[in-house]
Amino acid sequence: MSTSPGSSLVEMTGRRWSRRRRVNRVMLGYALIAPAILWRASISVYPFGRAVLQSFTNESPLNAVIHWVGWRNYVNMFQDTTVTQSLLFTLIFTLAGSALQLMYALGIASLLNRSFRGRTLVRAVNLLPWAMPTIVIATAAQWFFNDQYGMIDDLIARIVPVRPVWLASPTGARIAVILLDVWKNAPWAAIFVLAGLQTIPSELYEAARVDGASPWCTYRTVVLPLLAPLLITLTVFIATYRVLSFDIVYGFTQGGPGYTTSLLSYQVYKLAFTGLEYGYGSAVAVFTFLVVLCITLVCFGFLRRSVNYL
Amino acid sequence: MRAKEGGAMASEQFDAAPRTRRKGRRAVVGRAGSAIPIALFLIITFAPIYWIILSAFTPLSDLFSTPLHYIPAHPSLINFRAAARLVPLGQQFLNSTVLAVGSASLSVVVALLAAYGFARIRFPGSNFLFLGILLSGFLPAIATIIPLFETFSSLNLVDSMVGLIALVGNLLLPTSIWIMASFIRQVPIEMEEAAQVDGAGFPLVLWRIVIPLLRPALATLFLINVITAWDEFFLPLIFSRSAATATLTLGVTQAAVDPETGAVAWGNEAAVALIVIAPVFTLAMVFQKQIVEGLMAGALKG
Repeated sequence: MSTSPGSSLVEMTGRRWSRRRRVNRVMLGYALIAPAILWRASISVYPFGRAVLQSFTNESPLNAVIHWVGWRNYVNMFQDTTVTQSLLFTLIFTLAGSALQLMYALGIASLLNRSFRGRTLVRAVNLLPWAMPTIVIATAAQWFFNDQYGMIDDLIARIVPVRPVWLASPTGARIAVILLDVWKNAPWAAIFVLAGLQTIPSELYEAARVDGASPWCTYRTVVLPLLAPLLITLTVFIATYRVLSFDIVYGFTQGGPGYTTSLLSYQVYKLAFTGLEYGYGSAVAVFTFLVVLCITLVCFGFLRRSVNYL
Repeated sequence: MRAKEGGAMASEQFDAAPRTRRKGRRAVVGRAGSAIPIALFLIITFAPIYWIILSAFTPLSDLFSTPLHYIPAHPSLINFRAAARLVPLGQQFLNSTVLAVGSASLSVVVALLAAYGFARIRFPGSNFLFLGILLSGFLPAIATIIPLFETFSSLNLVDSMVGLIALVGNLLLPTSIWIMASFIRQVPIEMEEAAQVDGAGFPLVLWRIVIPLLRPALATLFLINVITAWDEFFLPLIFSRSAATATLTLGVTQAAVDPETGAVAWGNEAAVALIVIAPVFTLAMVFQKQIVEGLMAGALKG
């Protein structure tokens, strides 16, 4: 089916059907996107706007009279150790978790990019942690990291005679949560890195090899710079998802011991649905969104710089 | 026939690079160097999954043993029977299926229409609205959940499957539109233009040309969305208030404690966990090529 008769026909009849057709076409465009816009607006944008307003009130099902409290919720949250502890762990979790996840994902992707027998099967296995619900692996982790009957300590005890008690100390619990999160989510990130690796032309590897570059040198000077824009975009997503993680802490540690592994999202949930503090909970939720926004802006700043650099 | 060409075109794009590189890479890396990291990767990835499967089929008394037995000494279905007594597994399986299929279908249809509008039609504000939808994906569910709960309460949508489908479908929408738009841009536009010149209206073009060409892409997106919706936990946790709407992901946490003894019941939990992951694992293994392509399509055109 050649296109030239079609396009010449368009030119010939263009003037006659142009105006009415073009208006119809634009209307069609709006009609097509309308369901998506309405859906997003009613279930994400509008409630978010209401949450922002709510965050300046003392709203709660327990309060008969709702009144405006100004910035009080926002000021209070920085004196509330449950929130500041959650903020601290959210930052640790986001920084350490994102960095580890990115490194592990780079490793998996380089591995899956090699050619070996059974690669298809290994790639399929890589999808399993992605396909698994977070809440399942989080609840299973309570046992996985159990110091008496858990598999991790069983394996460790077979090699060296120690059985670390992961969930009793803040540091142990934090490490466990971060490791679990990396296991669950790095395979997803690896798929994106793999997509990036496959766009790098083989000639570049050849050229580096001919020039006598070691594999590590090739990786650092050829592969990583070419991947940089993709990696930074990916980092935005990884970091955002880390800030907003909920299931993993709900199912695994419930924020304990104390509040040392509580995440901001988890704290919002507790404030709103156990404490029934809607106004205060919304303030913490809006604050969480601002953290996400900052991370996104910082990462995109890096992206712009690195693209200019390349 | 056209549809097949579209599919082949897409897969060729992803496969071509490694095939040509194969020789060069082998020289650089060598085979033995791959075997150890691959084995390590497989062990790390599979160990927790094996642990869940093992625990599901092992009676509780055997689970509480040190050191662990990695091959069950007395394999049994006792955990499944106990879990089925505690948790309405049949109802939850049905609810999870309705939620996954309902929200995935709805989001794919809405995403197809919107992505077609954004990718193929020029209208004022289209770039702005496209970016707006994608950025609204960064609005965290947690920051909308309190007002949403109030609104849904006043509309009687709390504890209803319709409400849950609306919520989860909305969650799937931004990425779906993104992936769909990148698939549509890969398809040549000539056939649609020719059909329009022949006087075919939009519904005909959509039904006769666009959908057949995009069939593999639509199936891929549907699959990814089904898995994502099946795995959803947070929204059911807030908006499901009774057994009538509870999903299997909630069942996992419900099975964690034995209500009669108050003791933790890891065996039961593992049994429910296995029931939750079996369908998604099957889908992931069978359709791994399509899923990886679908996820990559979103990454590459970005």
